[in-house]
Amino acid sequence: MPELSQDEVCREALRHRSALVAYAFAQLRDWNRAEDVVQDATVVLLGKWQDCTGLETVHAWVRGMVRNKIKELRRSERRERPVELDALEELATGCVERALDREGGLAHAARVRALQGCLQELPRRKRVIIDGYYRQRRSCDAIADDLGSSANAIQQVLSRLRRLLKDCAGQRLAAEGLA
Amino acid sequence: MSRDALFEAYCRDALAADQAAELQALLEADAEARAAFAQHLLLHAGLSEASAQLHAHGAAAPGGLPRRRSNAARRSARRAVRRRSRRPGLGVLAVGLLVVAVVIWLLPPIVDGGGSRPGAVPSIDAPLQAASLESGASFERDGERHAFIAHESSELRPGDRLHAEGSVIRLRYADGTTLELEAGSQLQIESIVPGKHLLLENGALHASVAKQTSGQPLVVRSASASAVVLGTDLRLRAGDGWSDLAVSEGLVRYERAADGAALEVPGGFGARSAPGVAWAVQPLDAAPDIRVDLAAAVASSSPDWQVVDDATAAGGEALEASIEPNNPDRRLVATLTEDRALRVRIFAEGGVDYRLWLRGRTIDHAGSPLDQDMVLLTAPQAELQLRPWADTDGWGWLPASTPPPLPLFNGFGTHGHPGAWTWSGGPADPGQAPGIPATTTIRFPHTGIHELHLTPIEGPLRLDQLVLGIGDRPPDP
Repeated sequence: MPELSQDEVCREALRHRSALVAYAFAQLRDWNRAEDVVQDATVVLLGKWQDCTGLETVHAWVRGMVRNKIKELRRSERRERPVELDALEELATGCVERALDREGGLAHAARVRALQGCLQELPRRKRVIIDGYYRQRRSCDAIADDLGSSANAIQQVLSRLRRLLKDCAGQRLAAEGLA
Repeated sequence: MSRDALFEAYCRDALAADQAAELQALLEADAEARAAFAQHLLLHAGLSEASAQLHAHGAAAPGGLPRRRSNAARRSARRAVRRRSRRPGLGVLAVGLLVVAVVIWLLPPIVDGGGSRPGAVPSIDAPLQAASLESGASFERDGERHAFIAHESSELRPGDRLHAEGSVIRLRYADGTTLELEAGSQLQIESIVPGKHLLLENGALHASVAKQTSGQPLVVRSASASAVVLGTDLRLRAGDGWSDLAVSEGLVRYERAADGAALEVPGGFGARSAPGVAWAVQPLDAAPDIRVDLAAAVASSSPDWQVVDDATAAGGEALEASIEPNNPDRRLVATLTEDRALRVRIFAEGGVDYRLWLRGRTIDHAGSPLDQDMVLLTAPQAELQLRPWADTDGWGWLPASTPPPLPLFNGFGTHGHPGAWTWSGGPADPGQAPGIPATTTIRFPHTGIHELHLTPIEGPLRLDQLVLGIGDRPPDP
């Protein structure tokens, strides 16, 4: 078996970064924290890359590291969390894991690229709403206050935008032969 | 809570205990729900990442919401500092590789530039620029016409007049406000800086307006009204003597040119400036019945009609046809000429099938049959469909100004009591089967102001309302 270099292993892990963050997000529900966890897992990978048996296993291997990091995070936070959320989060993680495996490792990265393109086509006001809700994680009330609207109107806009962006990304991926 | 709302609440970590239990039960029982949940999560994660990437490129929400670091971002930054301080024992090579990995991690992927897509207006520093999607459109400057080259933008100046012939024209201001001028429309740029002022001469304009500087709103004028826009999504249509505003988001101040009367039109509502149309805010999804107060809507006089006071009529006034009853020559004259017609101007949407209803009452007197044809209603350039004329090839459409069967309204006394206000839907054939309503349907070829002509055939008769409705039933009084 040809030997793998650290650079090859790291690069393969980074190719799957988007999918790994989405996997972590399924349990943590916070994209910034999900990114932190995947970054921590990558640091672990740097120290253990020699244990990698093949590039095709890197994604699953790093996903396991992400899972462990999330467990560590939960323990270290020591905050009061409802017990019933554990089972729901496990369910969510399982759903996303199966979806990512069905799509193939790099499909989510393609989805993110397509969504970027679709977001750039949105009118400015709608981009402001998406940025406030998804990147800044602001509430609909806060966004509505800034825009002189109502929380209900913002929720409706977001609901429509989700459908629109999902369709747009799907069309872009289909045009690339990836859907 | 709907399924999608549960999914979204999970993504936002905003589920109550009972909602979490509900979602868990749903996912455990339904494979399709699990698949849909996964897609919702992946979309949410994808949008979070895509937004973050655009922000990193400086392409997201310029001048938009304040950029706050989330608590998570602050914790992440603190952890990064702690991580770096805990690694004194790592070899130089490992540290170097870590730095390389972090740099690769932070290196954003190449973003697919949406500005190169055909039809998009490229972002440059011009205060206002425009591009047409296809050839044919042009703009007029200092008396000279300049053709738009499809997909190439042109910088616009105050005084420019845009002709969207055969193509949509897209306009973009430097603050990101975008407008689309529909094909067939004309728009004049009145000013750009400091205030954005436009004159929609004809056609339709869709706008997505960035939040404007206080005191410098976007103003779109038409001949009959002005829309003062602070930051919203709207559509404005205008024609000869009318304009129509529909607001999907935000708030627009809409001022009528004739008297300066203003409306505040919020998202989900609209208003219209047109003869015979109430100057009021209406829900966008309201059924577009058109109610015409006939006495008030009279556009020209006719020797056969007078406006009279009638306390029982809508608005306290009615049109009275003061012609002698049972005059056989009247019908002949009426069908050959329309010089005795009363012209009523209304605003109507093109391509919509409206049911016509006239409300009238006979003034009872001895010897006057109460179910005779009493009013001929026609409309230039429109089409009519009459029921129950089964011999017109399945309720076929007829030009509204021609030969029999004629759009004659009757029954003003038959269905009620003589002298009582009654709605008539059109030509009730005395021989028709019971239960078949008499209806007259009218369809206009385009949206705008149209004339209806009312010719009295029999009298005496008073009319007070004309309704162009959507349903098959008579309007509510």
